[in-house]
Amino acid sequence: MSQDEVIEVIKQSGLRGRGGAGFPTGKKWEFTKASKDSQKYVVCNADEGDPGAFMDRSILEGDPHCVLEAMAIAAYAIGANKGYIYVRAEYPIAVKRLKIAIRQAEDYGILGENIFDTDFNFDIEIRLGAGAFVCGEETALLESIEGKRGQPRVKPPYPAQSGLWGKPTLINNVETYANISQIILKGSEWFSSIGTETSKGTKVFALGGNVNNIGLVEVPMGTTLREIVYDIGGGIPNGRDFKAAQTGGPSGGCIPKEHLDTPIDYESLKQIGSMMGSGGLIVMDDTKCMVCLAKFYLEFTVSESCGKCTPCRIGTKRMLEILERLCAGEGSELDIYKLEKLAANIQKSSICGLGQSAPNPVISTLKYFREEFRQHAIQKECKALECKAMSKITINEEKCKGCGLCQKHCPVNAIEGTGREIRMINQDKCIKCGTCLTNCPFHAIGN
Amino acid sequence: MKKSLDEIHKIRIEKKKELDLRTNINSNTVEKHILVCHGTGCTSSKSEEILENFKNIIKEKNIQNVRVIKTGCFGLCAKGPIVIIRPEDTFYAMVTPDDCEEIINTHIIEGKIVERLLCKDIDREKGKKIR
Ligand SMILES: Cc1cc2nc3c(=O)[nH]c(=O)nc-3n(C[C@H](O)[C@H](O)[C@H](O)COP(=O)(O)O)c2cc1C
Ligand code: FES
Repeated sequence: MSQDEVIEVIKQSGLRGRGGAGFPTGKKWEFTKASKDSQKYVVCNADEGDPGAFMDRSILEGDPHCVLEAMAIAAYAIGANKGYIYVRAEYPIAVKRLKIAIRQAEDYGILGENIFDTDFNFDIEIRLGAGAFVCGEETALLESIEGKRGQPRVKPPYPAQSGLWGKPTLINNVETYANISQIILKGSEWFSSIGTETSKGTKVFALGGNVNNIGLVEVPMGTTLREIVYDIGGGIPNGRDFKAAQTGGPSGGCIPKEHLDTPIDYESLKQIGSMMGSGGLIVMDDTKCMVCLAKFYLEFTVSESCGKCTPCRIGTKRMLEILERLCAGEGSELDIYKLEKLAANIQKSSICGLGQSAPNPVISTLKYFREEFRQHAIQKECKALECKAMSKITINEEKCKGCGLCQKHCPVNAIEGTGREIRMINQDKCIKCGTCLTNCPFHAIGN
Repeated sequence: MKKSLDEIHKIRIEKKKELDLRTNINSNTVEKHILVCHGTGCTSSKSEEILENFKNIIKEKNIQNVRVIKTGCFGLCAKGPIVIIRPEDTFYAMVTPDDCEEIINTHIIEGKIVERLLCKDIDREKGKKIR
């Protein structure tokens, strides 16, 4: 196959980037090939920073050769002779197996000089990342490979024009590469026969949270969230209800119950205010507080912001402070308004995808669970009982049978009453740990 | 050693035969494969020790036609360590290093399934879907 033929097959297949943004892979290859330069690079993004996601990790550990092969194919197609895999040092098994695979490929002459007696040369080096989320952003990753501080560059120029050391650079995600050899082997029609109109092939998700089968799932694009959570994931444990699922990690958004039947593809997810992201999929049951969820992801972005641009460095911090106020029962309705204002500004004015997408978890939780935010702000109430500062645990007198089990389990002896008496919680002593709640056989405890 | 394209093709055909036993479940060969997951989840719950134990027991008892193979992640990481025996495709979950002896004695030697270790929550159809 000629270089153009390879690119054409990838274009025809409809493969889109699995690293987050979903950019058409064939087009990216075409652009990088079109950049004229004697030196070009191929980079594999194996930074995988989304908390709870480990799809790329499992590919690198289970089948490192498929990534090496795809990188060689990419290098041939765009005219590169050097590749880098940027993998986080927290993945020691992946690094070890990658090293073995690279050595094997070099021994067999699949990597190196004059591969299969052609004039194509290609070798791959591993670069270890220190585990900064921002280094998953492609330009920050390139800076880091160059040995500089991992901060994003202003785009354009895109890496396809000016990447590593100013040279045209192709950067793709691990899972994107993992599709390449199969597409070349089985053809673009095979690949594009799987999935939806605009999203082809399959996607791997790291399924976690309140779901029975925790682990990795690979599904055709267009599978609904309901199928993933209930059929494959085996439903929600302890007979609880589904409340929401977070896709796209700290850059994504939540999907509420009413959108359970949304087909999972790039466009549908975007439309309902979430995103595909790299494939983290966290399921939450009805004991989870959505303000806390937003706060959790904001805490993450605040600590992972590289600090280069002000909106992301300071804006996200201000948002987090507001969320902390809300969770502590010290917020007001004005805070909700401020959150929205800040979110819109940060989205517009940040340099890189980290800042631009940092407000997403807040925006989407506000969109679907506004009432919950208002309850926190106005009634100072957290129905899910997750915000300890606000929750007041009480015993329903009608349901209590006086069994005393709650009393037995209470670690601070905050429950009063003896014999078959209806029990009472001494609010001054209660630390709101929720132990009584989980131990009551009559579901008599709540707020 | 550098290999030519032809040699690589030959290696591929050889290896494919071995893989057939694992992918083609109705294969009627006598050889059995014990697949031990070595993904992150299972490794952290001692699958490396399980692999060693299987190998040692097989050597000790001088059992023929059984190969122990480390594999990548099967997807059901929270139920790990996962051990799968092919060609019958038995899916054992939460196996401990101490279970190896029983699996060899009961499953490999007597040909009976170790019911207690079967992954129960997942019916076969859905289990397949996940893999
Ligand atoms: C804050 C941030 C973090 C990112 N983290 C990752 C990551 O961990 N892995 C990844 O493949 N892409 C990540 N990306 C996306 C990359 O910038 C880039 O789009 C991707 O590597 C391109 O590959 P693809 O076209 O194959 O998806 C991240 C982007 C942003 C803005
Ligand atoms: S690590 Fe063993 S099943 Fe995922």
